[in-house]
Amino acid sequence: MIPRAGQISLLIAQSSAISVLMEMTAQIALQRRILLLDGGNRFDGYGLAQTLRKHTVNINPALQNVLLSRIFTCYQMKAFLSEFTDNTLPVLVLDLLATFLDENVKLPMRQSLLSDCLNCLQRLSRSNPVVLWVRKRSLPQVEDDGLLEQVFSASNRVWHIENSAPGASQPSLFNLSGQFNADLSAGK
Amino acid sequence: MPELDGWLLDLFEDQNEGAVFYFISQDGRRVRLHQEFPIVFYALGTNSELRSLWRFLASQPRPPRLRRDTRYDVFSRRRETVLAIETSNAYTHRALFQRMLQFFPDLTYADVDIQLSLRFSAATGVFPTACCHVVFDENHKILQINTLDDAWSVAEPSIPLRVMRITPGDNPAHAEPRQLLIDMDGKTCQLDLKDERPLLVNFCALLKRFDPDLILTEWGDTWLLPRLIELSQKHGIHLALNREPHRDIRWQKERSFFSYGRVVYRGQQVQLFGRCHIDRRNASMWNEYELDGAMEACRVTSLPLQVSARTSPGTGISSIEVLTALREGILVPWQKQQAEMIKPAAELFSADQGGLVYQPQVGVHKHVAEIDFVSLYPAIMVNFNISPETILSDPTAPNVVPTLGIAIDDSQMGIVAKALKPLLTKRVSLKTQLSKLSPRDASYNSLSSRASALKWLLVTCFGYLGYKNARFGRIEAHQAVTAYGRELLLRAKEAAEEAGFEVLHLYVDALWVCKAGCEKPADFEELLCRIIEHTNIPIALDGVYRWVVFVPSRLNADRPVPNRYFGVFQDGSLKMRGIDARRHDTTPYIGQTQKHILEMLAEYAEPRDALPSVLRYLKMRLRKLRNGEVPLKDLLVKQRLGRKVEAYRTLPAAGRAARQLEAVGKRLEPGQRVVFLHMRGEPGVHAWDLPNPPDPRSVDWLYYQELMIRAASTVLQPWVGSEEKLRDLVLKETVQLSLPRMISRHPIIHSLPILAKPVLLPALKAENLVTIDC
Amino acid sequence: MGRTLASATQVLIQEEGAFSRFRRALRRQDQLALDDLFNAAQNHLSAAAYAASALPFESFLLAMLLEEHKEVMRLRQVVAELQEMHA
Repeated sequence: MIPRAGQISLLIAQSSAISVLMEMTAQIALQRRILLLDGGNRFDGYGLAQTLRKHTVNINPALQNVLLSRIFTCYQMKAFLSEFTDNTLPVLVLDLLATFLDENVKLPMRQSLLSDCLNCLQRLSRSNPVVLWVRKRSLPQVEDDGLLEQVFSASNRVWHIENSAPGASQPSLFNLSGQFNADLSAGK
Repeated sequence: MPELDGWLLDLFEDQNEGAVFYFISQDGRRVRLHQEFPIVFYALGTNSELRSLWRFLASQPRPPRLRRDTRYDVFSRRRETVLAIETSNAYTHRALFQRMLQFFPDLTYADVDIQLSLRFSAATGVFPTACCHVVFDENHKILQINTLDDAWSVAEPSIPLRVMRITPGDNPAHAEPRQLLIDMDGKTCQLDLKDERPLLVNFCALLKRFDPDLILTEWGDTWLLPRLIELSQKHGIHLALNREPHRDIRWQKERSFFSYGRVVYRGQQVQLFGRCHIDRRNASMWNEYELDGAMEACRVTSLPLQVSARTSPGTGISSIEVLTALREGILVPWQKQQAEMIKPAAELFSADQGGLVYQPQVGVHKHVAEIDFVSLYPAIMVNFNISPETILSDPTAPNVVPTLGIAIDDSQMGIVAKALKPLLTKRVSLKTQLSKLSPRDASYNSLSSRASALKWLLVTCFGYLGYKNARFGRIEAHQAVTAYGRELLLRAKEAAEEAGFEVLHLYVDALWVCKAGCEKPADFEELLCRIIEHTNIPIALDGVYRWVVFVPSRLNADRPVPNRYFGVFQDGSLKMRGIDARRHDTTPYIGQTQKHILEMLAEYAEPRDALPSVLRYLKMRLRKLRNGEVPLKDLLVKQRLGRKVEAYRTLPAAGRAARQLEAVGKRLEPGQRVVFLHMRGEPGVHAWDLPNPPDPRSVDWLYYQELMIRAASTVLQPWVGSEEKLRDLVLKETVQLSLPRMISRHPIIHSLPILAKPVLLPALKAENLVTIDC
Repeated sequence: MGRTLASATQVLIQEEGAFSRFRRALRRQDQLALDDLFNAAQNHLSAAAYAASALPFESFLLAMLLEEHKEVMRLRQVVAELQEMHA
């Protein structure tokens, strides 16, 4: 999984993937700034800090490099992405579809908002890597609503991580992120 | 021109007449008037976008009135150019807006989707139940209306409602009711539910003769009114529940929703036109403040009475904010779009915190004062001017928020602060009035209910500030409030320590302090003044405890638990938090036992002296339980269903009881309460609302015994020790009463787990062994 | 609402859990002593929360040390009193 600029990489995995994503964020943040959009209240601040600590004693500059915004409604997601024009930053979106599961907003509206969001993400991905994480738990519903299909169509690379025994999955994920991070932090 | 002085009872939209109003006139007539009420809303966008929109709207079959205007946007913090769109009434407004959304989905909209009563109140100052003066023409069309009333006045509302109270003889979920008890201003009447035709005929006659303004029912939304309507259709007898002719009643579906971390269930609703209907069992907060409180909420929020009784305080706060915005010419956003400001993750650690909480000093303490800030968070919001538009991301500006990298713009009052200020002022006035009255005074209860309604609105306004769908919510504002809260509580603690007090516990907006020699309220006066000096927020002495116990964790007696305590004030009244007797889902028999034990402990200056009689009492209560002498309804457990029955993977007791009910056709939704008994054998529960009564001999009294011992052990722990020790004391018949020494208040020793052991120094001879008295 | 980070209480529980393997390998008396240390940290959760460090375990360690030192101070006092009594 080597994300490059010009690509949207999609990761479909369960909640525990957050540790891999924090590892990835840490690797990047040690070298440059990164935009982290939390679409489902998944950000693990303490986990990120601990991961950074493995690399350096002074974790504060890296923590300053992680630019965080938390999104609580699908309208907010669209408004944020429409107004965000800084294309010098790699972008990581956590739990992209969480706010699009809200049945209080009519489905056509959610589909339209998601479409707008994906257009903005494609625009941003032209100059920097964009990584999207969709959580496995949301799967049946977003498939039925056609939202997953929309995200698929907008993505260039898709990684689907299966459920497996905790011990077994650890090594493979780590290798994945190792390669992943190297390219991301090289700014490709 | 005809005119009247009277009170506005109800108002609603009408497709033909615009808005319809029902008044109670001073001379006792009920008058129906109407008025065209045009609706104005706004669109924002670039000049070219607005021009296209103008062209589109101008070409509609019944074009709305259009004009350019500017209005203030709290999120951009400036006046924006808007296209003001005026439609003839609420119906055309909604239809037009739907079409606009289809063709112009990317524009920003404001002042859409606002209740008629809010718009009307903002325009005229007349709110539901207000006293007003109306001038109208011979067609009953309102020409002029002025308010003679003030929602913020402390005086009691004067509206003379005719109230009809209807109660079915039984709880319909439990057993089929057999009669209806109807009360009309003191005159009562009973109707048999078995004879359907006479029931309907009589009920219609009563409705017509008494002509109530408010129908107050029990189970009216979920059972009674739907049942009466079903009967009226079956027998072809028209039931004039509405005063408004040619109108069907308004149905609202039942729903379960997530709120403040738990699932809430709202039953279906029946709302009337021209009259109000309130179902006491389906009204939120009813147990807290009844009709007087619902009316108070209605007046300050400008929501119609039957709406205000049913909606949560969150909706109430939202209405007050929207009303303030309309009055001030501030745009009311249609959809919450403002996302959180981008911030480095480094700042989240200090921003993402709640109220300041100190671990309490576990054990018994004497002569402790509890000092509370009065409505801390709302007071902070008003005092420090915290509102979505007053947040500045510049940490170098003046008025920096402590520990956060943001500042507050003090140049003008923010909308949230403006909306809350009168609410806070009125609550303080009502509380002051209350403190001068005795509970036996005639007006005490109604004043207390009104103060309670305001309290709940205030309690909610902080949470609402951080709510994702709140129109005027903003997470940075929410964080600023908690940051100030922590800072102020810390300052209070520092002031107390400087004055030589020991701080035993801190919890968000309250502190518990003590000092040798300080026992009466007067001894704490100076401290209160000091704290006010340091914080600028009103603070009050909740009371001085004769003794108070901070209860440790059930799992580990050395681990303190915040906000879990019980104590007795000097006037003999009890206060408890976080223990069984205080919770709503506690089994009555157990809750009563725990409470009575507390009362017995409270009678003694030294609580341990009460122990022998407490243990005798507890043994007696356990004996009654074992002998099957406790009425079954006192053993009922009430728990809320957290999710749909099918969604449970392993079934807790409540889930099993819900399954039993499902099997007999009674479906329960998430958020609804299940009532059941613990039984021996499978499935271990018996739902109370099952048609067949439970077998009293199969009640699992062993399980209830455990629950009782646990509840008793919570309050006896400081003197008896562990739950096992208490079990030995009350279950074994012959046991010596040897109780360990009470833990003293020496601060250093308190935090050590190994206590009261003799200190053995190897160099000393056995006869020189000294036992240290801790 | 809008809370993302775990509370200080939750973090302490997580840290205790992270040391469960370490604890398991200890002798029984040492396990009890370790439990006491974590109890000590529990008494100062509020300070740890207010400190708002990105690495909360550092605050917990300081809390444990704090309680240890208080015990030392208490014991010093006791010893001094005993010595006086036998002087």
